Amino acid sequence: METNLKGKTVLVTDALHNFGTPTALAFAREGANLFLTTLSDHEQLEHTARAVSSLGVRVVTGLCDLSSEAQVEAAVHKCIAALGRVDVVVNNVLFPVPAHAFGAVPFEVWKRKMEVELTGSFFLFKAVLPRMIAQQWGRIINFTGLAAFQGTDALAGSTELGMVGMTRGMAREYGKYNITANCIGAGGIESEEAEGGLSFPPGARDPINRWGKPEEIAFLAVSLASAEAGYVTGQCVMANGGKYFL
Amino acid sequence: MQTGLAGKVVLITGATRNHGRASALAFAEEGAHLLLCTRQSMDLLEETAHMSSASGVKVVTGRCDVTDEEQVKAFVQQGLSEFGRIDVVVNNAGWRARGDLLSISTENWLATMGVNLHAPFLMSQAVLPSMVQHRWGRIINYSGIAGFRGSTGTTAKMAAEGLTRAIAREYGKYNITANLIGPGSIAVIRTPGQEIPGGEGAGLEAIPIPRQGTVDECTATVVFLASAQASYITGQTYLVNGGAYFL
Repeated sequence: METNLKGKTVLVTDALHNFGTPTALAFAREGANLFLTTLSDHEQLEHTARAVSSLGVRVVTGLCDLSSEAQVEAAVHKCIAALGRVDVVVNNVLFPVPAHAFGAVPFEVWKRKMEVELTGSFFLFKAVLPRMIAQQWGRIINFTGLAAFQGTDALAGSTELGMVGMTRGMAREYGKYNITANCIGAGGIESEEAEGGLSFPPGARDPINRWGKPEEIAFLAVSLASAEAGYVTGQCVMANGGKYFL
Repeated sequence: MQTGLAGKVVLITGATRNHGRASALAFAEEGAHLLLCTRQSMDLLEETAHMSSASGVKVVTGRCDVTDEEQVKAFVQQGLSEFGRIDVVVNNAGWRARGDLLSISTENWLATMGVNLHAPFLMSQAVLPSMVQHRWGRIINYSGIAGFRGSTGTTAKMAAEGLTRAIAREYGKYNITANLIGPGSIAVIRTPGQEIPGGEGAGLEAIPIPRQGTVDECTATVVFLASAQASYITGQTYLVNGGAYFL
């Protein structure tokens, strides 16, 4: 498959968590340059950046708290300054909170998760969309999950379905600029369990009765970013072993 | 239809006009007592209360900023002291951010997060213990049509759908249901700054029922979702939009 991603710039948020690193590696294999952000772990981010750049692409890093509009703007500015453009955003934002019973969720925790994941994404897209509009091309890839559809966790489910709404909104509002926005609905991926959050272990009733691999998510991200996915927008592509059919 | 709502206690946020007032009147007609709040329009709220009490039900009003944790707790406590229970919550208060993502100010974005998402969180958390105690409850949140058709300004409402599904899953065992109503284009009085670009009813010629809906057409669904008969419906979104979007 010719993805036409060679030389494009891909910005990955929370690159150390969730699907960030495998996705960055997958884009690097396509010849895309990368801008990787994380909240605070500079050393680990540099370590990951070296692994990605060993595939022969340029990698730049920046620390960024997505809930700070100023930090988001600074990170996007650094990406543009160092790599010249931003073509693809893999918004892998995750503020991990252990699953709570709804009645036991402290409002401050709730608010913080909403601010980082939803408002943080709003800041991120405010910063990158003008660039994508100017170049008349862009790919936005967000993540949602099973909690949004199965109602298994108020915290995760709310941000996950919020991301679906934001994705559809950007798909409608910016499609005319050849900007697509899609969601990957991951569920039952083995790396999620390592995050200490909600996990969906394989079950005998699942159509595909095994853990999913992060690489299987990374493949979807690359395919949604590719040139030939230009007519796919506003969608949720579910990768959950068939645990839930949209 | 026997709704089984007589004697129940129904909390409605933003019950000053439009959907909120229409719901108050409809629940009062079913014989339900009312607990109504607004952030600032106390005159309109008292008018709703006066109109509703004509049905012979007890109506309690209060001022409450539904995005403020302490005020929500205090208002729910006031309701529990007055009535001893809260059976139905209609999270009607809403705020809309129109325009595309780049045109939405951070302030307006945060307002939608507060009213459309944090408020149903706070209100639901505050009333659920009473509902669990009585092994019965109905939570009704507002979605809309824009979130389905694509509008970044309704991100918070879509997030509230996720919240509603989670409440539905977690509290179903107590006979508590949580659902959403998603009105389409409805003829209402708009707050200044919340008007529809192009005017009321613009662009509706092509939808299956080619007109705006009325608040009463939405209220009928709200009352139904709260009724005894709707006891096996939970985690769902009921779209009342003239067929403008098929879920």
